[in-house]
Amino acid sequence: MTAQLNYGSTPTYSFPSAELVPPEKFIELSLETLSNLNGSLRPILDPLEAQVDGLMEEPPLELAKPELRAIPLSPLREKCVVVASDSSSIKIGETRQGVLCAIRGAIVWRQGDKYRYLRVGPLPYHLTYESGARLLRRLQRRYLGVSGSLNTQNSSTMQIQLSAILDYWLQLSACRMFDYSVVLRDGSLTARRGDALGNALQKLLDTARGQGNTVLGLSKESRLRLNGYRISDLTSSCRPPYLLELKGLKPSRQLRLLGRVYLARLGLEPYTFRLDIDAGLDEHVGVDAVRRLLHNDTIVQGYPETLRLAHILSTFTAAEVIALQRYVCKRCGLEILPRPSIRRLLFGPYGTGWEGVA
Amino acid sequence: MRLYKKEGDTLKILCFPGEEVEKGDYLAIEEDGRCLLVQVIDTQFANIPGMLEELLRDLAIRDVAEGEDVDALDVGSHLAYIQDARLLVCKVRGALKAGRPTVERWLPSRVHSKIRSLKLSELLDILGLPGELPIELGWGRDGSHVSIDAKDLDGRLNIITGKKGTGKSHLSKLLALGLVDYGATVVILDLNGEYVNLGYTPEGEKNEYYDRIVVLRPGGNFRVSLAQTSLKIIMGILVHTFGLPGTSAREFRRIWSHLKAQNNLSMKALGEAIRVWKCNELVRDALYSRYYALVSSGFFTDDDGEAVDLADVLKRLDGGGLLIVNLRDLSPSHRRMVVEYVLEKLVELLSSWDSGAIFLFAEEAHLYMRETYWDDVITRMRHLGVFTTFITNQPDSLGENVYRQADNIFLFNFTNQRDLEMVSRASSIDAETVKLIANELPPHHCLILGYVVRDHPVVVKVRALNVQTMGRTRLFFASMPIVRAARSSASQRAS
Repeated sequence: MTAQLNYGSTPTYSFPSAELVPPEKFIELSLETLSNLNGSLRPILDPLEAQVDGLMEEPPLELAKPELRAIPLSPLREKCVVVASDSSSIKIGETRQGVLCAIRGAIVWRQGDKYRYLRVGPLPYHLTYESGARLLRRLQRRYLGVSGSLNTQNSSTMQIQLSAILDYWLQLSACRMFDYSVVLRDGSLTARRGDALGNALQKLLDTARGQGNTVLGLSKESRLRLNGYRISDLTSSCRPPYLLELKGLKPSRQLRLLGRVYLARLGLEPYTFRLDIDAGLDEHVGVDAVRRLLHNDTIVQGYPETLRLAHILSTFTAAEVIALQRYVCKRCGLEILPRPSIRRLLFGPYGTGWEGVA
Repeated sequence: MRLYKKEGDTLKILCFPGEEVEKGDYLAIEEDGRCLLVQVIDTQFANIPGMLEELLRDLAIRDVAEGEDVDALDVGSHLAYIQDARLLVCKVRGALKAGRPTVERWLPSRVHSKIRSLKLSELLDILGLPGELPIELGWGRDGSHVSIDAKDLDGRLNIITGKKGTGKSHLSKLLALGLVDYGATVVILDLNGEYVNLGYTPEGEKNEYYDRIVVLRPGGNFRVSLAQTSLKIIMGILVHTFGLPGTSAREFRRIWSHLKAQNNLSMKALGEAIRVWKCNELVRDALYSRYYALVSSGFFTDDDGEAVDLADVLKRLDGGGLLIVNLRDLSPSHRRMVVEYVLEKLVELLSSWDSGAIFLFAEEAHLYMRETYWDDVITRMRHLGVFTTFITNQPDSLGENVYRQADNIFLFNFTNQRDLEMVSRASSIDAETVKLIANELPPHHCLILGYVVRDHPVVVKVRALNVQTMGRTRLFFASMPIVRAARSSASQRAS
């Protein structure tokens, strides 16, 4: 029988606490970076291709000596809030000085049958080599409150870090908003040593634990490999839902595993995901959090609906990219210039072509 | 507005909220002293990449979740602006070079061309309209007055069509009176008797047309004698209206010649002649039945004082006037008989140069005009000086050849694609324009096609007339006091 999803709509709406004040510094710095912008904007040809979903790229991990243990799961009938957050960033064009990008993030939570959300953004930023690093340091001071370095190597990494800081702020807000809830984040609980965002992740887990929350990191695509194979390809003979515990992970010196790593198959569909559970909690507390998740959220194709909605809400569409370009051009008096396509100029059948022009 | 695409003679133009352009409007695409005149025939949403995804996401989220957007920079309003961007599908109608019409066409630059809305009055100026004899029809969407030149109806075949209740008859009255203003003689075949009060204001007082209108009621003040009627006309009536067979028609011809030779053409003499004529009894029966049909119509009289001579009537209207033949309350066969008589008589008068050219307005002509007349109307009669305007809500009642020969079409709303298909066969306009604009015309709005607008289709809201138009249908429930009275008496009976 095909399961029919039955979503309840929310007749009334109220935020659970006063924690969700708009992130003013993000807004202020967005306007600040735009204030010096002038000249022209060259939109990129396919901005959606350049969209970065979620946090930094997950560092690769190799699982040398596998110790796999299947943990069958059943829903734990305890009411709790399931809260998820996600963020994304997108490059919307290039200027003479740097790049123009935008970030957006969302928190979604489910209480009873109702989904509610808070979406922040889109916030456009003009990142140059100098101003980008300065901007990230200011955001680090204001929102991360931890030491450590940020990767300001180039505009792409700066864009990712910017989105990651927003994501961190959303997760921290989520952890402070709710008690004894399941906090879902998109990505693993792996951190680089000396990295500010890694330190912030540790702080986030500590804060969550202090509130009785359990942080679960769910990775859609994991770079964790077992004998060269992706772990998401592993299955168990166990009847789903289940967790496959991966013991014996030995990360490199630069990496810290802040969570216990599992392979999770939460639905009957054959989709498995890497699941990291806060290592600071007892193992059974973590597993019980997954069981509470099964009881309190809808699992669609093995993936929690709350996290899926957070992802959908934060992702940019092509129309939004055009709207952002229009906003920036109008605000800063920029002229949009088509980008010459060298490939088309050289090889195109009609000789001259401009990117961005159909 | 920005030029986006060109496919054949169709241009696609991007248009953003705030730039109010509707179907039927004209745009000028200007570049280097040249100007392309294009008409918007359809408006669509711009196909922005990812729009479906955007809308689906919005819909999916709204269905399941409720929340708040912290959009401090109000980027959302820019998104709405992009989402509401429209694509104007336009047809190239003409071109100007240094302000003068030219047949040259070119592809304007997407980057350098400037696109602006063209006021209808500006377009009409360019087209040199309304010319010397303006007939004011109404207003364009931008408030510009729209007039056509009465000369452009002269010698032309016109069609006024649209579905019921859209204002066809109203426009035909406006055109007819407009022609009368310039001294034209207009003959109206008035199927429903709705033209008979054109000589009165809506308040019931005589207006400036009163003395220039003659209303003829067949069998009433419009009776004719056989002496005024030629053999051709009477044979036309007997054969085409009353279906007289060939053999009987031959006998009738002999009887007619006999009576004419005796200078005794009258209904009484005709009846007597048929009675005593030596012929087959079946032929006699056939002739008798047709004779009594003529008698029962009351259209023919032996009283010369009572008989109306159309030539005299037309002479009376020489300085311009309306001759209204009221066909209301006539049976279908009598209607056809009267029309047959009037048309043949007109041809006779025009052939002998006893009358100047006339404008003929025929409403729902298929109900009283035999099919063989269609070709006659658009060829022979036209050359003799009968310039016809057909008014119909059934476009397929007119033959395809009528559409192909039509010089001007005044098209009101049609939603039925088959009807539009029929009208679009007119050679002067592309089918796409007809179909896309006509199906969204509001009541009393008319798309004018053809020579009167120099093949630049124009949408006009037809103005009101200060005459009794009587074009409304009498309704059963319109009289509410009657309904209320009936209801109260019913309730009294019940109690």
